[in-house]
Amino acid sequence: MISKLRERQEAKFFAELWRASPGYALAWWVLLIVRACVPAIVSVAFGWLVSAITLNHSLTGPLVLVGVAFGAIVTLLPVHQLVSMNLGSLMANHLYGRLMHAGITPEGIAHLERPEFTNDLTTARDFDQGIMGPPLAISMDFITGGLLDLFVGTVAGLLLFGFAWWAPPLLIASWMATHWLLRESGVWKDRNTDEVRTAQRHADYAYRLAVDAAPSKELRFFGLGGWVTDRFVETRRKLYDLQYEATKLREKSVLACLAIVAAANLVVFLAIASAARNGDLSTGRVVVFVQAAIGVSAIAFGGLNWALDGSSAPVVALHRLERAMAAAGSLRSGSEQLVAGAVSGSGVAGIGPKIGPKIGPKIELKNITFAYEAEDTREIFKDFSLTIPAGTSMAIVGSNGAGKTTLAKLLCRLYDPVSGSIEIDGTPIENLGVVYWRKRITAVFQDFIRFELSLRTNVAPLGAPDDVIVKALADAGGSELARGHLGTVLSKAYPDGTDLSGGQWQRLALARALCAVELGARVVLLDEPTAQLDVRGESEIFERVLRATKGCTTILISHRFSTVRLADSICVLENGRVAELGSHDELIALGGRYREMFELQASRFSEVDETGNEVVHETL
Amino acid sequence: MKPSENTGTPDAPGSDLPPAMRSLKRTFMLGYRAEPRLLGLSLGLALLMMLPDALLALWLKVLVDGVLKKSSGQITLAAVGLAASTTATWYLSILSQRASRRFRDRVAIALESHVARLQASVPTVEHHERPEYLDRLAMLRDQVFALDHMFMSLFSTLGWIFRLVVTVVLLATVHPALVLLVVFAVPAVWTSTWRPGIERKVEESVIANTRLARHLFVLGTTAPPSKEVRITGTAGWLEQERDDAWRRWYVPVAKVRISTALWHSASWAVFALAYIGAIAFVTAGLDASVGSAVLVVAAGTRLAGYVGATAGELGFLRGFWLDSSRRLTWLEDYAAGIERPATEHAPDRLTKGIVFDNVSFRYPGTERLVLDGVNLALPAGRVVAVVGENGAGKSTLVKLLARMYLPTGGRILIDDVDLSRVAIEEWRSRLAGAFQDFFRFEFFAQRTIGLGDLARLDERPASEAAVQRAGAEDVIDRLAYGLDTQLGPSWNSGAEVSFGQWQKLALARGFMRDDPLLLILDEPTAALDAETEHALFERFAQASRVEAVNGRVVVLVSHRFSTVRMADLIVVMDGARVAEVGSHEDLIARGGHYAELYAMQAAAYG
Repeated sequence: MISKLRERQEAKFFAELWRASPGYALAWWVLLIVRACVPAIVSVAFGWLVSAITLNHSLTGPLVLVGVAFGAIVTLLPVHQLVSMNLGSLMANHLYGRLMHAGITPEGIAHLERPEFTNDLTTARDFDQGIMGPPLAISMDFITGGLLDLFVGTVAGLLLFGFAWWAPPLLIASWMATHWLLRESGVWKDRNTDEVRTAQRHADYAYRLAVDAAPSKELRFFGLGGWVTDRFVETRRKLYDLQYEATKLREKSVLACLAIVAAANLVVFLAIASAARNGDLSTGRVVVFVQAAIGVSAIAFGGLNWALDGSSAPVVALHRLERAMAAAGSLRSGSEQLVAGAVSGSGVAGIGPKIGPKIGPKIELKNITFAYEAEDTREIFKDFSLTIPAGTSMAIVGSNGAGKTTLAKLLCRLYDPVSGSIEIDGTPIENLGVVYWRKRITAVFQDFIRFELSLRTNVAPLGAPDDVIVKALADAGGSELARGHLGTVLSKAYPDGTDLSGGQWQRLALARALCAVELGARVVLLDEPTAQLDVRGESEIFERVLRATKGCTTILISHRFSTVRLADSICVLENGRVAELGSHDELIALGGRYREMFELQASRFSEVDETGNEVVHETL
Repeated sequence: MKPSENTGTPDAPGSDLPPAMRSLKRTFMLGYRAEPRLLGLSLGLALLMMLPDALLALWLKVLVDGVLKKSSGQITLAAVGLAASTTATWYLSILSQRASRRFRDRVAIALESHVARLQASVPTVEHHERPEYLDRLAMLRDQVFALDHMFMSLFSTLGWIFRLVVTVVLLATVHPALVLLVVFAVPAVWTSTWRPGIERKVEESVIANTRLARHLFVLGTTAPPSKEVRITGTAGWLEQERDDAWRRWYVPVAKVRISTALWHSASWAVFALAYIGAIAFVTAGLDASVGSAVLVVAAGTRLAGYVGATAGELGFLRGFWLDSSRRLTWLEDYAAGIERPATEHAPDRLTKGIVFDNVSFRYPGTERLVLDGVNLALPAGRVVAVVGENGAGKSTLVKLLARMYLPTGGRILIDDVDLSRVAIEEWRSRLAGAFQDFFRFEFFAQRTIGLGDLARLDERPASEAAVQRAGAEDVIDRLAYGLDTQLGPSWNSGAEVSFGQWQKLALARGFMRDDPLLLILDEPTAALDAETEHALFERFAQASRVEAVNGRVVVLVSHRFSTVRMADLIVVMDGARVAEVGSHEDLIARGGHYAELYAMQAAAYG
């Protein structure tokens, strides 16, 4: 029984409330109980006052009691509202913190890319955004109100035991029946079926399309404003209709409720009246019991309401996610003891990579097979092998979808291959320990992070001396950035913030990697690092970067052959296989795919005196 | 306040929001127009429901008087009345809840779509690029729920006032002086209307922290940044930073909540004292009947509840939806203020071309000129490339052409027609193109592409042609159901699409229209590979020559000189001005800025 109660989402919500802030949670419960009892005290004091008047006793006692109880009612309300609101804010922060922890802690990233977690993730990620309902700071007040009514009604009912043993069960049951018959309370989940949630996502997406900044440019350019809004109305209406259908009033139930409630109330009030008439009850007690009988009706207004339901959903989603994401995002564990011997005695996590070897390691991929679990029908790699010699640079080229970015993810150990092994200087990568390996590797991805924080933090998130930061920026061709204040926030959305152009951001991302090299990384992975740089940038930057990362094992993924040819060796990837491998000169001499692609790009420069159009035709 | 004045002084957020009553009325009318019958029903039921509740105190008095007078009939009447009132209060509240929920759902759609439509229909993107507008819009967007709650709030406020009046009348029947009790509620009413304003002010002053906390939270819980978070080992640090940012918001906000709550509580204590005085006055001083004492106590207790609820609702009204309602009115005015009367039409075809006549531009709220006296002719039927280093004004030039902004000085002429006088929709319907910062529309592929020409949104041949023009066949072939594949892995059976693939889809979208007057390609191929880029420009050069019958101008922004040199005309931007204009050969011969940059890139392929 108790374990079943614990399984309920409301129970989980209140347990989490306690963890969010024990102090506030305690205050909230104490206030709830005190406030639930005060109306009953008012009724009693009121009855006492009436008796005192009729019997000509002193009025001081009852007057003081009425005053104190009444004062408590009106002064405790704002305090309780305050506690609810702050507790709601603390709870929202607590849940966000927990979810972030669950998302950020697993060593791999499969848990964030798997579609089966999407619904729970959206629920847990956006619950306090005011999209699906009021934020918790406001919901808590509704939750408080519901519970308070329930408790006030129950306490009033208990008072009626003083009148007759049968009155409280009768009245409480009749008012309780309204919840059961009308299916109004949050106990029923009809409003939140999977179908409803999907409709909700569609509606939210359409709304965000219309109001967010990211699509705003194209929305205007293509004149999509009206269409997007119509779509929103359509999806939203569907959502509400689904919800309405799910909770539609059952007419019969209402009439049944009405009959039950009216009958029960009539019986109790007439019984009190008849006792009063017969002189079985003093006037004072009549007043107490009548007030109590009225008070029980609060039960119908209170309860576990929609606000509690809406606020519990993210808690449940979070609990599910915490377990599932930890499992999905985990990587194979290796025997890390091996490390000490294998990597020059410096490998164990916790020992700073600064004392690691100066030269980047040899990286061998041996018979790798890999598929993202969600789409396991298509293997990205099958029996894939590739060796990157120690301290050299290798460029990976290939058309879109050839597996370049997947390769990058495997090298960073964001995923483990399904079979096969990656060996670093002969040691299986899982034996190195993920913490150690990630100190040894640094990467720039196409979709690198743009921290809405200071320039300094963007270059060295975990901190580095200013001269290292300035040097990294200079090496990345961003010395004009370094001239500004390192403390400037890089987003216009903040006071005194500024935004960078696409090219500037990219230099900054490169600087971040160079800074990591300065701090000890020896493997550098560049995934399209110069796509947004201009001519002047592109040709000089890459040479600078290669110079700054000399001695590192560098892997460069690029479409641009002007950049690619600077690498020591080039690997042409096609459909998850190595099609060609060699230096620029070797591959040109080979006259295969690489040469074909290189000439396509280079041709536009080779005949400067021809007109552009003619050149295009000649190379076909 | 005229709309134009309104939009002209946006520097102090909050201060220039339209007045409360006008906003209120407008928002109310919005609801009324959307659902007049449901609104009437909800309001009526909300008022009716209050009556039996307010009568409870009266029944109690009747009962006590009956007991004292030993009047059997009166006692029975009171008992029946009590039972009926209690039941009716509940029953009417159920009906009222049903009606108002239905109304609220409906009106929420009307309001949210109104906000969405307004925001999407504002012709410029300025409001998305200025922080003070962003804050205001973010609040409005996330509090639309508060706007539909406004009607509930309004109904219950009216209901509480109604009960208040009934109760006060009952008290006055005992002794007229008791009406004075209401006066002692004034401090409480005042604090409850004063609180939300103060709290909001503090909240707005630290709101940037919530944005930062959210940003860091998203970094930790979404897939794209997760790679770097792990490699840089910043997980723990990010968690800490997020929590810190949140606390920078919470601590001052919690503090102001506490202090205002205590003041409010204290002002209620004043009323409580007055209430005790009133009872003492009635029971001891006035020597009234027991029934009257009962009435005063019962009604007084309820009076506090009613005043509290009324004040609370008023506070809620003021804090949440009045504020939201003012933001909404501001947005309406803003959208209306930007609308310009269209007096001219865009030509069917271009004969001369597009001319920049001494055009200057600075972003609103900034000092620096991004374009400074630009004079430039883009001849009809030509491909014009715009090059220049980052920040030289290339993208701004494009934004002005697409009328995302109006020039701050000078004019843009379309075959002698001033672009600022052409209806914005009409002009935009003659544009096509793709941008570097394209959006990933997560629909079926057909729609993701078809959005480029709304009239042919679901037309298969049109999108297939666009796919071909963009060289995106390989992207479509790879999708499990071709054009009928849902894009975006977060949707049910949605396909994962790489950045480069998204870019091709964006290109295809840009090529949907068949006869644009202006085709804008703002670095659309930065992530594409060698073959695609080559095939694309080859095809594109051919197409623009064949289709140039309507005099279409193609504007191509690029960093890649390999692309640029195929243009008929090359515009070199430098420091907000046009540095050089000419064909590739002209510019090389001239040996200026362009020739220098070109040599540099060519050297890399040497």
